[in-house]
Amino acid sequence: MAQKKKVEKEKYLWVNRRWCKRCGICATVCPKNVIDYDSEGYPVFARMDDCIYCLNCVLYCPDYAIFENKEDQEYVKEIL
Amino acid sequence: MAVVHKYLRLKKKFPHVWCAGCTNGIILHATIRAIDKLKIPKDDVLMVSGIGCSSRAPVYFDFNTLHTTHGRAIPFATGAKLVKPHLKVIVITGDGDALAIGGNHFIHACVRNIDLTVIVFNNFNYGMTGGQRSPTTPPGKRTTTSPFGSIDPPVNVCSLAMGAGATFVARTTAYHFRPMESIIARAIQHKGFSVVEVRCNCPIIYGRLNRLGDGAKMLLDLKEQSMTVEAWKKLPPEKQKKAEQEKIIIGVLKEDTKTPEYTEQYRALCEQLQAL
Repeated sequence: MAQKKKVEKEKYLWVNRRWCKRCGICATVCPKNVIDYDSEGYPVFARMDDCIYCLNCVLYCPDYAIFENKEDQEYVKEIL
Repeated sequence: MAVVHKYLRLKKKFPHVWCAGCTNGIILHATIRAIDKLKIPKDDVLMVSGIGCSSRAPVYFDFNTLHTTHGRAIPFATGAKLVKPHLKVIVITGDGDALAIGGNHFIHACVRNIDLTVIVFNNFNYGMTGGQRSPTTPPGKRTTTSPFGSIDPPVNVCSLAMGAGATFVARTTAYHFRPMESIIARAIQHKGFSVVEVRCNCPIIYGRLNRLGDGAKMLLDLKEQSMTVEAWKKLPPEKQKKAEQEKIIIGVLKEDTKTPEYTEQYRALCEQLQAL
């Protein structure tokens, strides 16, 4: 049997601070307690090694402020 | 890019108008994912809404959208569906919009069994106009027009829809994202009038007046208060009634595929009369 190659997706999450309203829902629904708040109250992905990439934070964010791809960062900044 | 961002009007005013902690965005996300999963093209979807917090939703999404008068979302949607039967018409409405001001329209659309999908965002008050009592406010809860607690018995959206003859009735909460997604997908696919009641929160007005905590806490409370319809059916009959009052029973409550659909009957009648 041919062995399946496991391609690990690069874990990358970022918060669009112009859309985030600091409601704290992302940290509440995170099963691995990855998210912390910074001094202004915005979420920070502090323990990315624990992240299992379930993307609950992306799904539950009511402001659609969490993005899962690095490439979008430039695109979103451009249109804002 | 998450699925939802493909369907956003990104150049419109973002961030959206909803308060911090409001779960309307989560319900919209589930709706978008359901549409994406069914692979319906953007041009074949029509989103209709009335007035209210939840009814702001179609502004942000890149479908055919219609923002209509207060409570009259379902009549507008009925007209659109009769003229263009190939459209998937989704009505986004709040509890006050659908049940108080548009209550009669809601009942008559249920009776007609026209192929619409109505998503009722139930947050127990009129959020946009300042937190007045709505038909679904639970007894004893405070709103700005019932500052000592409401004494009116609340309307049960799902029982009303089932009694009036809607053919697909389901209830979910904003916390249950994956079930909500699959239920909305089933509701869109269903041929006939489908009602999905989604319990959500209003942390800024209703939550503050009743001291229910912030948005995140209210979201977790929805999880604790809910119970699936399968678990509820296994209970003995005397406990069922008690659970119905205390818990939010989630799941598909009614599905009937035998009742004839209104648009098809209307087309058949037109053809019959044209042949004369």
